[in-house]
Amino acid sequence: MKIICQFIALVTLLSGSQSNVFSGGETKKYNSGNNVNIAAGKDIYVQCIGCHSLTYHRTGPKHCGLIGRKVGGVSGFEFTPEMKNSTIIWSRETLNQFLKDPLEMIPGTSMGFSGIDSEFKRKQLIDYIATLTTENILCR
Amino acid sequence: MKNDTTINTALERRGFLTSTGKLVLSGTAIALMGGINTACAGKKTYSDQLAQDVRILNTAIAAEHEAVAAYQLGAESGLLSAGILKVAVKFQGHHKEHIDVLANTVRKLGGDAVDAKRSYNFPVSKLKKQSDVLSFAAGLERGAVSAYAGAIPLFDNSDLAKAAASILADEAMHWAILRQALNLDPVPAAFFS
Repeated sequence: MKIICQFIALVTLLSGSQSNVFSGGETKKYNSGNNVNIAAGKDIYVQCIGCHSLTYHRTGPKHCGLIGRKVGGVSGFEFTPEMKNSTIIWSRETLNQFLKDPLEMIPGTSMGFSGIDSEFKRKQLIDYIATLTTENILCR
Repeated sequence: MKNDTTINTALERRGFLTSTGKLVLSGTAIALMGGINTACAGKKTYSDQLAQDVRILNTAIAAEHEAVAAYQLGAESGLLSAGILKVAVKFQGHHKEHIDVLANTVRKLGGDAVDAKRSYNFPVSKLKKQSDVLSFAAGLERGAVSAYAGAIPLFDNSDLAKAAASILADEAMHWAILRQALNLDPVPAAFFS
């Protein structure tokens, strides 16, 4: 069992490294000085499309403009009371915490997702979500 | 914790479902309904775990409703060939079956199953040919597989997890077949997330 877990961890590590190092796509340099690979985050975002869209609400709320928004604060979506009453603001840090274990951070969320274990993959995904501002053509 | 009477009733129900042969229920349905017995035995408090399971199941039901509506849109688009239409309607039927089983389970757990929305936001203006419809459906199916994969570890009840895995497998088959129809590699990787 331990060997299987180690193998899966290795595969996960390798797949993460590969998407970061070898994949092409858009790379943007932010003020923080960190190079981020938007394409890698976009690939990971595929995991979200079962319930979310960039520009309109589905089973989950839309993601354009997420960073800086209050948890449960976007209009037109019926949030659970726990989300609606939360005072948390979505930032890279709070999103990282949420994506690691959504139900641990906000037990009443309806997001039935166990979370992303890899910190590296969470960072890549957040890098992508952070681009989804009103200036992004995908959000117009 | 459930009392013995409740557990016995549930066990008798499961026995009835599996032995009479008069009711045609899938293994998934039976597993889900049977799983109710142990939903109460989680490590969290009963009400917390139950509420979480109901929320997860309702999220799945909402996504399944959307899939049914999406296939309806595709079926009525006039863009599908007769052969593809037949497959699409079959897949839609699977999603309806998923809803029935999931909603029954929610009700058995004491919750209210979410209904379909009156309308859905679909990229209708972008659906101009058959491949557009197939790509759209494939995206939903792929997303559904991810959603179930992300939800399964949350079930404290292994019967619910097994049943959700069964639905996941069905949706993965849909995704693969839709990709095949799009002349894409139907199974693009050994691992899926």
